[in-house]
Amino acid sequence: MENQKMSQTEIAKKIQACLKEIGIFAEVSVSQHEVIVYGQKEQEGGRLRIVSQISDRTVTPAGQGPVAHEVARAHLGTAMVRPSLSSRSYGQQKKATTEAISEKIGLESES
Amino acid sequence: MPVLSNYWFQNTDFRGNTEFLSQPHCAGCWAWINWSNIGSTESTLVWERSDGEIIVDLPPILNAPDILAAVDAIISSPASRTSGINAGWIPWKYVPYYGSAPGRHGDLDLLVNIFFNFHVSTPWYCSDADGSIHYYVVPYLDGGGHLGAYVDGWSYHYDGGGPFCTGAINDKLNAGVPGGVGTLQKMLDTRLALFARSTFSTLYLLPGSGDKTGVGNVNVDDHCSLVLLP
Repeated sequence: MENQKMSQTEIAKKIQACLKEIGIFAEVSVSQHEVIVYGQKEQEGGRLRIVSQISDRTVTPAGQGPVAHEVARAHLGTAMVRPSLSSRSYGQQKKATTEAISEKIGLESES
Repeated sequence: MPVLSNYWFQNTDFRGNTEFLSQPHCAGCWAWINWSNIGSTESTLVWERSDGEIIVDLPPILNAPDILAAVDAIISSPASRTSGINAGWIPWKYVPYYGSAPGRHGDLDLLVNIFFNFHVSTPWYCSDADGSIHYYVVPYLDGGGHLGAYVDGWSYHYDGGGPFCTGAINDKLNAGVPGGVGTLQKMLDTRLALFARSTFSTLYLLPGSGDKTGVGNVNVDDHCSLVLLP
């Protein structure tokens, strides 16, 4: 990773040097996975924008994750009634949870 | 007098825009609902409501100043919150991290989806990004009938940030959003403490504010209420 980062930075410096040769003073932004070289130049009444990105990953604009299984288990181990749209009634749900816990305890005591 | 509430949902599995109607009726009598123009709906629910319901409308509670301040600390400049805090329901099978452990809950177990919108300002070479950050909360009653809740997970998504800034935006969100789980859990624990001396027999969620009379419309993805029965 360190070598890769050095390589990315070297590439960025070379791009920056090339841009400087043609009169564009570019800046470099370095983050953990990307290096961006960006610069602008006024030209014939317009503005020329140049941006280069050197990246080691493909990014999707989303992320997600559950809390640790142990945290969830600690709570769900004590949960008897939960909101659900499954077809069984709450009475059935509570009964089923109690039976499941009893069964689990029984299995653990046997093992 | 019992009340029959009927909910019609825009999408399957009880999601999206929701039309509702509540009809009080005498015990042992029919509850009549005639609705000839319910529109395009793909699922429906009916619940017989007891007089003893304790209804907790979630968005007003979650938009308390101390909670907003805590949430604002989760994301920092150049990102900022651009909406109030919403709290809708979401069946487990539609939670973004469902695929990582489908058996963690039942497919139609309901989680409370607490979320808000955000905006990220970017340098000139990228478009700004707009999206939402979500925390998924499981409410429950324990064996003693006490109310509990825990934050089960998180997600975010956004549009924009292209063509070069999505990586930096993800890095910032990946650092901040999971850390918000602890913040939100502390807030939940504080609120739950108000119910510590009470015990309940049943817990369920209802769309919107849990209105007991009349007709209305709400998006259940954005707004739900927690209901307790002694």
